[in-house]
Amino acid sequence: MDQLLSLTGVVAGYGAGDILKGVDLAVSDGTVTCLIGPNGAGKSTVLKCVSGLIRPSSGTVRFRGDEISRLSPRARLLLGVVHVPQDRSLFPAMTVRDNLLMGGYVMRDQKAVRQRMEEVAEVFPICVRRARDHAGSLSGGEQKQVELARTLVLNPRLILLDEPSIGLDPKSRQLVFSSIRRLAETGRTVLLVEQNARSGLAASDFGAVLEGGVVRLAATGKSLLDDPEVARLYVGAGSSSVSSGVGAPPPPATTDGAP
Amino acid sequence: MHALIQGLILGVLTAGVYALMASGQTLIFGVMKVVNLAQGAMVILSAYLAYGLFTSFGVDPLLAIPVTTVAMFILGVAVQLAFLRPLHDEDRSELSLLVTFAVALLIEGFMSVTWRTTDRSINTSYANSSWSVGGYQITLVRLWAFLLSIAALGVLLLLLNRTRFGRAIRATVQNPESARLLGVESNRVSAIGFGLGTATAAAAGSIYGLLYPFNPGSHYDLISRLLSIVVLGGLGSIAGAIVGALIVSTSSAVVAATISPAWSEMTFFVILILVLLLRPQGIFGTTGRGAI
Repeated sequence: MDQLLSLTGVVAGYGAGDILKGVDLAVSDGTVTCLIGPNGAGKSTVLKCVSGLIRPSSGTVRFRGDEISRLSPRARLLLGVVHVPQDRSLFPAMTVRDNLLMGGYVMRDQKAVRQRMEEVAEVFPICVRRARDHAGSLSGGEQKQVELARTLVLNPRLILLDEPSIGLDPKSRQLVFSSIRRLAETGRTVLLVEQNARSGLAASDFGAVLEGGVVRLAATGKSLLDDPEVARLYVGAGSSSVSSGVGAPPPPATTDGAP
Repeated sequence: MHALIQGLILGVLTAGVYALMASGQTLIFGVMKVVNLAQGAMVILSAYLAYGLFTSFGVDPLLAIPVTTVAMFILGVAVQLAFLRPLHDEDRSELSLLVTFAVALLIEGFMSVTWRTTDRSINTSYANSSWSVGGYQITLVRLWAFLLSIAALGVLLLLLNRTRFGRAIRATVQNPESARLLGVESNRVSAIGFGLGTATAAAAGSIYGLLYPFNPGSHYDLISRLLSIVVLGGLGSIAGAIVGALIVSTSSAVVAATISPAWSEMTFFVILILVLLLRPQGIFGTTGRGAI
């Protein structure tokens, strides 16, 4: 599988402190990769570095082989990198239709945007059913569906999802994870941050454990789920440290291959 | 009763121009979280520009609106680029109060030097024309002012609701980070949004100059009224600015007509204090990020 995204030695943070202290991570084309780890490990910061919301102080971010670390979020969007942040990212006082139109904001050809919206609506029928409703009037699960649909308007190569299941009921959560699988089946690559490690890893081809600002372990989603230490620390109701050894020493921090 | 209805008519007609001025103010706040204390000075500057065009070239103040609108849009964009963009996000709201007040003083100084400090008024041929409808007087100037203000507001709302750029402005108001992630360039939206806000001052300035005498210091009175209106309606809400303008303007006119013009000025501030006590976020305001 070709490598679509790679982070090498990425150091980044907010203000004075560094959250990421040298992240190495690789994501293969057409796969779903799930980042797990304790709160404050820097999972969301990784996504922000990829989408351009924050710029690394050192290290490189490569997309399809090209260095993108210094590009603006808009430039990265045009390359096909879309980011759905953790907090509800829809515009609540705008209709579902207007929210979808915003998904194609960077496209100059408005006719093409509308055509893409029609294609997306076939995958997410809620976009037609609730087109005229304000996004803020939708349930949490419905909003997530529209968020995912909005990312597809641009026909992206890489979708960054930050905690897509947060605050959702079990049924909506299941729907969201099956939608993520559907994205991968249509050839998109997904990099996912998920607190609900079991569901996240189960829906993913690969997984990586982030702790203390570095990737401690990377493997297939299934093997991470089967790893008793990972299961104890992240999948069950365990503590928040992985340093005691998910197999020592930490293996190379990449997800571009087998465990 | 006659005085009450006459006051109501006057109040509603005047509300249009206040709604227009306040819409610009609230748009700027919605997009940038900046309280533009220079909005009043920009209205008065526009009134002077209309006055200059009228006295020097005989251009009707209402026909001068397209020219002054472009001028104020450019001035607004320049102010945003030169003075507001350099401010850091985290303290922009607080520092912008000082910066926009300084801009207001700068404009006041420019107007004092250019047009002196004496009161000016724009006396068109139709300045004193009025109609009598059922015994109530409707002055032509106020009716025109009202209709033009409604038209300008309509254009602003169409721009915000029916265009790609308008959607980007609304998106930025509701969720700036998400808008940025969808490719909206926040710097560009802020500059043009600020320009649009000050452009409303241009149309309002021409109309203001037709209705009232003005001098370089008139903006102090005006900005306090505008702030009362936008706080009453809810900062960041255009619907709130329109309703706020209607409430403030009609109550002020009714008090002037039925009690005394001396108490009319007080009405703005009594309403403002009551709103701050009972509903601090204003009529259409929300405690979080709202929608324009």
